This record gives sequence, structure tokens and C-alpha cells, in this order.
Amino acid sequence: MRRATIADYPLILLGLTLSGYGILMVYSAGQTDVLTGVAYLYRNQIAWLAISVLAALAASRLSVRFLEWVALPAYVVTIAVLLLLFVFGSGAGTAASSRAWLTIAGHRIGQPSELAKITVVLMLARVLANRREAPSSLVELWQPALIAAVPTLLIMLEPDLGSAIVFVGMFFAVLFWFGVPWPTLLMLASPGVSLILAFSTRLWALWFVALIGLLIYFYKPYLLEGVGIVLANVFMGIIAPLLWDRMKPYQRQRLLVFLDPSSDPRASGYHVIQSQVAIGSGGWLGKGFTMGSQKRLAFLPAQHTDFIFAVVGEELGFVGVAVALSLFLVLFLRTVRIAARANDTFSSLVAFGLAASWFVHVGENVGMTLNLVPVTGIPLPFFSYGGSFMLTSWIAIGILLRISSEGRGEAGALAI
Amino acid sequence: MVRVSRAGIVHGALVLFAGALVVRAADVQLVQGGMWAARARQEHAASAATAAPRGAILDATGLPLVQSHDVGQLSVAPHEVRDVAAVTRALAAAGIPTPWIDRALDRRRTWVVIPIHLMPAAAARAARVPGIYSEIVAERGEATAGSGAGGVAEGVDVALDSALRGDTTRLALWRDGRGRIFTPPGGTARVARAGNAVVLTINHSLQDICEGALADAVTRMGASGGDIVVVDPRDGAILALASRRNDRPGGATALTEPFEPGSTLKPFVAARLIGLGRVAPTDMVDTHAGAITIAGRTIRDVHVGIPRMTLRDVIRWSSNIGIVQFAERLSPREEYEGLRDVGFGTPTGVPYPVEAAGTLREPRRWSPQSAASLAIGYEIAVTPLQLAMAYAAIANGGELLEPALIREIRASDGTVGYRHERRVVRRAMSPDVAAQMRDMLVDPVARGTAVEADLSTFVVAGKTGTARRVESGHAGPGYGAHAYTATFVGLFPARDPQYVILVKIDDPAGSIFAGKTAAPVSRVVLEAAIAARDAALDRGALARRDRGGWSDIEARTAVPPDPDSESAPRADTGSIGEGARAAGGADAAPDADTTLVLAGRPGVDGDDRHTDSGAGSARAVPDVHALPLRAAVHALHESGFRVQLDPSVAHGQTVPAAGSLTAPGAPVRLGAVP
Repeated sequence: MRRATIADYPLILLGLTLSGYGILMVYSAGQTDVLTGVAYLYRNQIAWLAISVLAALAASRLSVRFLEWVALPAYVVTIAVLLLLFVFGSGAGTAASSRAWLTIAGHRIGQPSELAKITVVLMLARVLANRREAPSSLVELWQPALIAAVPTLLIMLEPDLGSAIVFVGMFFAVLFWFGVPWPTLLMLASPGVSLILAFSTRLWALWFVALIGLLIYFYKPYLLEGVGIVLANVFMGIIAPLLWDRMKPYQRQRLLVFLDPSSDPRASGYHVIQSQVAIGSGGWLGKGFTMGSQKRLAFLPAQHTDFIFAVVGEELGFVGVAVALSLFLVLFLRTVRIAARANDTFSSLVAFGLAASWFVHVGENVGMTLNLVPVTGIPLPFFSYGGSFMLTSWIAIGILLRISSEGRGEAGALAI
Repeated sequence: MVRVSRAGIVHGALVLFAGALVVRAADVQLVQGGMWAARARQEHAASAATAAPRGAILDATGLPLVQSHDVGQLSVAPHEVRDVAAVTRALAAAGIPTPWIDRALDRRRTWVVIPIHLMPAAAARAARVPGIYSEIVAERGEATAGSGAGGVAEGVDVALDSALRGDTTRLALWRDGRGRIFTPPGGTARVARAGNAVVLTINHSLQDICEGALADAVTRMGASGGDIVVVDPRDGAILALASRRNDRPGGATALTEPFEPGSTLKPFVAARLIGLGRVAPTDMVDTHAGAITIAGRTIRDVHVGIPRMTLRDVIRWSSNIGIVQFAERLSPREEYEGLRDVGFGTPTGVPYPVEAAGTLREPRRWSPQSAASLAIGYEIAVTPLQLAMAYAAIANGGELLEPALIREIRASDGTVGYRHERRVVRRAMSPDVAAQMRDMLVDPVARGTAVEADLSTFVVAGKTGTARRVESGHAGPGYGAHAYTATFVGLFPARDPQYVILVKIDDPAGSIFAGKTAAPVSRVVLEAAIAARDAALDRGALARRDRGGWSDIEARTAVPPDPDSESAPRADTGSIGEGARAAGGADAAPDADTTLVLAGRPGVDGDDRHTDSGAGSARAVPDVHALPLRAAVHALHESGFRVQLDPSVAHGQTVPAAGSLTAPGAPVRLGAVP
């Protein structure tokens, strides 16, 4: 193992650039003509950035082996804290109706789900890295599936659907990177697909026929596994309507509004429409830094957190949006490069999992503001105001720096 | 190989996904950008328009008649009400009736506007309770109760809307996401220009006098309605317009409801005859003992007993038979033109939303009876205003003027944008004819049909008219059995008139004759106007025209002695100043008395033409009723009057009465117990 001498400066620069961009936007989000509590939050965010950078430096001092070792206890602690949320959790900010915040004696400590993103990635990587080869059947995936499912379910129950989706995305991304074949992943995802398609009986029937075809002619599973997949799909198809009934009204509304934002323009559709009004009215070059009228006049909801990207679009226009998306793209590509060149399977999986986490956040958040995906209330990394997420993101950068410096400088870290 | 392709797939997917986001962003920002930007503007710049205050309508003296003022109005958002009891208390304290309070608390409603006008302060006080909102709205109405000049101001409000209306400025306000509206930072809220003030020619004091006199007369006479119009013949200004219909103010019926004027039309036929030289002063017609049949129609006279009449007598006694015979000297075209030229059959052009043109048919549509009918004021319909303006032409020397209702229009900064200027429509008669007519019109008031219109202090000219009125009965329109219009049009004073006053009483229940109904109302109005502080009278000019300085007309009209003076309705006139002219019914007496006085005063010019130069020398007779006799005589002497002790006058009283304007040197009879 080589000494960590060469830091990955492009990654640091990317992180700082994105964070700086983000803090400027948080500052701008506070510049409104209507009194909001956002005006001075940028100061907190600067402080959080400083703390986060220090944390990243500290994380970069931790060896990959230590991370691999600490993964299990950290995971156990994470699950325990997530369970504690049911006792001590409280809602705040954009997650006001959930119990995402760990609150002790009235003090909100942070959002454990953010920390869980790292520990789950570490744990998944550790479990998978211990295998000699990629699992080829679903049954063999029970361990990673369980590792991802427990925190996902706990977070869903908070309820915080947006964060839960991040875990699902990370789980599939890590499996994919590990080398799990496409058909296996598809079969793994099939109950979820069933769940979604079950809202239309006809679509679900089509999917079901396609699934049977895939099973028989392409995937050719063990009998028991095949029966399990079919049963799971049938089960999901049946419980979906029941699940619909159990959804909170705002969750249902969000789904409906995604399908047709104008169906409820003054309530749930309001977020989506206002976000598009802000971004759309930005045009090519935007209305100027801090000058976004939709933001200034408080038409834009959660302008400093979930919908901060709409501020970018309104004030800096398409150019600002393209720059931000390009920065993220470079970040992803850089992270994937680190994953590809990592020294060992564990490092590679961790790096890719972290990249996947960011990717889901960016895709979901930007997609939501552009009305490409349903509103789920998920922050934009480095941009959205919030200490926990800033800290987590920079710890991830710290870990990536370590992995990068330990890497072989060339692709092919995975043993398979 | 697998992992290389795997990284490749990931890279490809990432680029594709980023590309998808960028494409979507381009779609929203560049393709749909205009639409979203418009939506954004609509959301926060859908600003409220604010109208500047509407201009006031003032009377000629600057008194507001109609104006806008701010009132408070409450609205309640039932869903925002937290404390029902507090809201109930607050609304009740503001004087909101219980049904409205219940409605305002009805949670099925989202917003309840309570259309009850409150003092702005009271509304603001109520709005301190959460859920109640107050706003300031402009209320338009009469400045003081009954100041709308009988609906005239209301019509002007409509007619001159474009002048009265203030600028409606779209203030560039912003609305925020919570629905609040505010001025944008650094935005200059341009103050909208307020509407112009419109100053009417209406004199509020005179208007009040007319409305009061009319209401009283209509009630007293059991009439169905009536109109009074006072115009200034010198410039055509409408000074008062009062109307009553069915015990209510009738709006501007003097402009909108034509009627058959009857005998009040005779002077215009006479003027035409004189103007064309068809009648000499000595020309006489036979009165045919009160009935004559022309073109199959029998025309009767009320006043009988004079076998032959001059044109002057015809006007004086309002002889139908006389005027019809004289009118035969005019061709239909000439008669038609005479009436047309004084403005009948054409709207006067007064700035009012609706005005009737009246009816005057062209000669080719006349029946054989029409010439005679028109001469006595039938087969023609005129509005009271038209008739008043026609008399104004006689009063001002022959010019038909456009009536003015608007004196000036003033911008909110005080600059005058429009000022009425005397506008002559045409010369309706020569100054000489007009002077002869004025002269002639003194007779009916002095010793004719309209003596009850006479004043003690000033000579009034005028003409009565009593016409049957068309009613829509069971058998269609026709002359009603008891439907009459009694009209009196007066010129005050007879020389250099300042008022033309038209009094019209519809369907008086008692006496139908205008001399008994309309004429006394004219006197009441004129007496009150003289006593009023400001009723658009030029007192300086008036003082030169009081009876003390008047004898030329009296002297001339005194010839020839009236053979029928005993039967004249003169005997029962009981006006205050009657004694100053003469006690008893003899016509000759007052003139003799006046002449005697003037002649017997060598220190002062006996000829009234010279008294013109002593403008303003007339003075009020002092009130001496509380003084001992010696002191009373002294006070009267001090004031420049000669004193005659008269046992027939009540003790302490004077004739002329205290306060009457009288020329210095004139005798004042003082009541004294012998």
C-alpha cells in the first residue's frame, strides 16, 4: 500500500467550487422583499462549510482498512439511531411533518438519515467485497438486500420518502458496480416496478406478461426463485392499492401532481409550478444575482433548501443552470474515475456508492424543480442549506480523497 | 472487459442523464421561457389600478353639491376568525346589523364583504380583530342632504363623467406569494390626477328657495307636480331647477318633460306681429263677447267685458280671441318661424344626459286649426327650460342664448379648464321688439292676470298660462277633465331683468288659473331670493330698479284707464307692499301716489332716468317699531326718508316695511296712534 501523498486536487476544487456556488445561492435565497427567516442563514452555511472541510480532512486521514473495519459498528449505531428517531425524532424545515431530526432535550442534533447514507454504503461495500464473485441469483443477494432494506424502511417510516429513494438508488448502483448481471438487477427491481405499475391495472398486466416472458426465455432462474419473483410481483400488484390508501394525503397529492401539475395549482401543484415559473422566467442569462422576483416575492417555496436550484435558474438563467449541472457532471465523472481506479473492491464500491448517492440527489432534486420527477423533498448536494448534508457530503469527499490517493492511478480496482 | 464496459456504461449514463437535465432546463428556460416569464409577471405584477378621487360638483358659489368622500368598509374572512366572540363584539361595535354579523361568521364562505359604509376610523378599529379586514372606498353622494339640486347634479355627474373622473393610474405594485400587495422598493408611485371639479351655474340658495316654495305650493294646491326654472337672461345661466312629481323631487323634468304652454306662448306671437310691423299700437280687434269660431273651432275667453282690445290689452288679459285674430295677420310660415326662432322644437343644448326637444310641427303638417291653436299655445310642446330661455330672449334684448348649467370646470390644481361664455344661438327678435314686449309684459302683473306675482319693492313683468293637459285616460290620450297646467313666466325686475322665473303647477286641485296658482309661487320665490344672502342677484343693479325709482313704465301703462278695473282680480291681492302704492283697488291711485311723491320732492330728481345715476343710493328702511314716536321719526329722517304719520298704519310699523330698499327722500308712512 502506497503512502497517501498525492491529493486529488480536482476533487477538492470541485467540492469547493460547488460549495461556494451553493453558499452564494443560499445568500441570494435570503435576499427577499418579504420578511423570511432565511436572510442570514448563509452565515450558518459558511460555518458549516468550514466544519465540513475540516471533517473531510479528518476523514481523509482514515485508512480504507479502518473504514472497512468501522463499517459494521457504524452501521449498527446508525440503525440504532434511526430507531431512536421514533422516540426522539422531530420535524423541521422542509421535513416538518416527519421525524427526520434527532432531537434531544429540544436540541436538534442533526438528520441521522444523512449519516446513514455513508454507513450503509460502507456496510454494503464491506459485505460485497468479502464475496469472491458477483452473486448470480437473487437468493445470494439476501445479505446486501437486508443491509439496504432495514435503514430504507426505517427512513420511509419517518416518513422521508426522498431519502429512502436515495438508499434504493445506492443499493442498485453498488450491485451494478459490483458486477451483478443486468437481468438479476431487473428481477430484483421487478416487485418495485409492479408496485408502481399497479396503479394502472392494464400497465401492470402488460408488465406481468413481459416479466413471465423474461423469466422463461432469458433469465431462467431456479424454480423457487422464479416462483418467488412472480409471487412478489403479484403481491405488490395487490397491495399497491392498499398502500395507496395508507399513503399520507400529501404523498398522494405529490404523485398526482407529478402526473398533472395543474390539477391542483394552489396547493401541491404550487411547488412544481412556482419552481418552473422561477426557472422558466430566468431565460438565457437570468434576472441577475439576488434579483429573482419569484424568489424575492416569496412565490418560490423552500427557496433555500429543496428548491434552491430554481433560484439558480431564475437569477443566473440557463447559463447558470448549465454551469451547475456541468460541475455536478464533472464531480460524478471524477468520482466514478476514482471508483474505477480504486485499489480494491471495497474502496471501489464505496466510491461508486457515494457517487450514486450524490447522483440520486442531484437527479431527483433538479428533476423535481424541472418537473421531471415527483416532488419528494430532497436536498441538492453542496447547494441546499443544511448542516448535516453539507457535513456528510464533505466527509464523502474526504473518503474519496483517501480512496483516490490509495488508488493505483489506473482503472481496474474491482477484482472481478 | 466487463468492468471497462461497466465504467463506460456509467459514464455514458451520466452524460446522458446530465444531457437530459440540460435539455429539460433548456426546454423550460429557453423554449417556454417567455410563457413562464409572462406567468411570473402576471403573478406578481398583476397590480391594482387606483383611481384618483372623482371631482366634486359645486354650485355657483362654490358650495359642494355632490362629492366623493372616503368611507370605511369591512370584510371578514370567516376561516381566519379565531375568536368568534371578539369578532361579533367588534362588528356590533362598528354598528353592523346582526344578520350581517351572522353572515360574516358563516364558515361556508371564504370572504364576506359587508356593504355598510362606516367612518374610516371605526372600520380600522374593527379591523384590529384577526379575521376582519377594512378598506377605504369612495362614496359618491350629495354633500349635504338634498344638495343634489333635485337630481340635476346627478345628471351632470353622468353627462360630464369624462371631466369628473380622475386618472385611473395603474400603479406598478407588486404582489407577493402570500397575496400581500405593496409598492416595489424604489418604485415611484405616481399620484393619479384627481378629477376636475365642475362648478354649476345653479345657485344653491335659490335652488333651496325654489324647492321649498314648490314643495309647499304643490302640497297646498293638491297638485300632481310642478317645476320651477330660474335662468339668468343675461348669460343664459340656469340658476335653479326644481321639480316635483307625486310628492317627490322629480329630477330634471324641467329639461325632459315637454308640455303645452298655453297662453305663455302669446307674447312670442305678439313679438312676431310687432317685428313684422303687422300691428300698430292702436290696432284693435273685437272680442266677440267671449267666443269666436275659427276653422270650426270655438275659442272662448275667460275675461270678458272689454269689447275691443289692442295687442297690449290682449297680452294683459290674455285674450284668446284677441290673439287668434291678430295671429291671422301672420302666414303659417311666419308664425312658425316666430316660434322656431325663440328655440321651440329644438333641444336647447344644455349639457345634460337627456333633454327633450319638444314638438313644433312644420306648417305643411298643420291642420286648418293649427295657426289658431299655436297662437294660444296648443299643438306645441315645450320644456319649461325652452320656455324660460325664450322669455330670456325677451328679457335680454332679443338674443336666444344657449342655457348654461356648467359655469366652469376646474382642474384639481385650481386651473380653470373651461369657463362658460355667453353663447348666442341667434337673434330671435330685434332689441326694439324685445323692449316693447318687456314693456307689454308689465301689464299682466301690474293690472292683468298675474297681479299675484307682483312685488311691493320691484316691478315684475310676466305672463300667465293656463292650459288643459293631455292625460292618458281610459280612452287613450286626451285632455283630462280636471287636468290643467298653470304656468307663470316672470321677468325680474321688469327693467334689466336678472331672473327669468318659470313656475309651472300641474293639476292644481283648487283654482286652475295660473294667476292664482303659479303667479303667487313666483312672488314667494322672488321675495325669498331678495331676502337671501346670495341668490345670484346683482344688488347694485337691483337697487336702481326698485319701485322708488320706477315710474316710466307705470306712468305709461296707466294710460288708458282700465274700464274693467273693478272686475280685475286685483282686489284680493294682499301683498305687503300694496299699501305703499295704493290702498284699495283703483288702478290710477298708486301711480298718482307715486307720481305725487316724486313730484313733490324737489331736492331729488323726479325723473327715474336720472335716478339711474344715483346707483346704490337706495337704502333699507330702518326698523323703528320699538322706538318712541319721536325717536322713530328721527331715525327715519336720519336715514334720508321723509316721514308721513298715518293712522291707518299699525302703530310702530312703517310702509314700506322695515328692511325694504327705498330711495332716499321717499316718503315713509309711519303708523302712529293719533
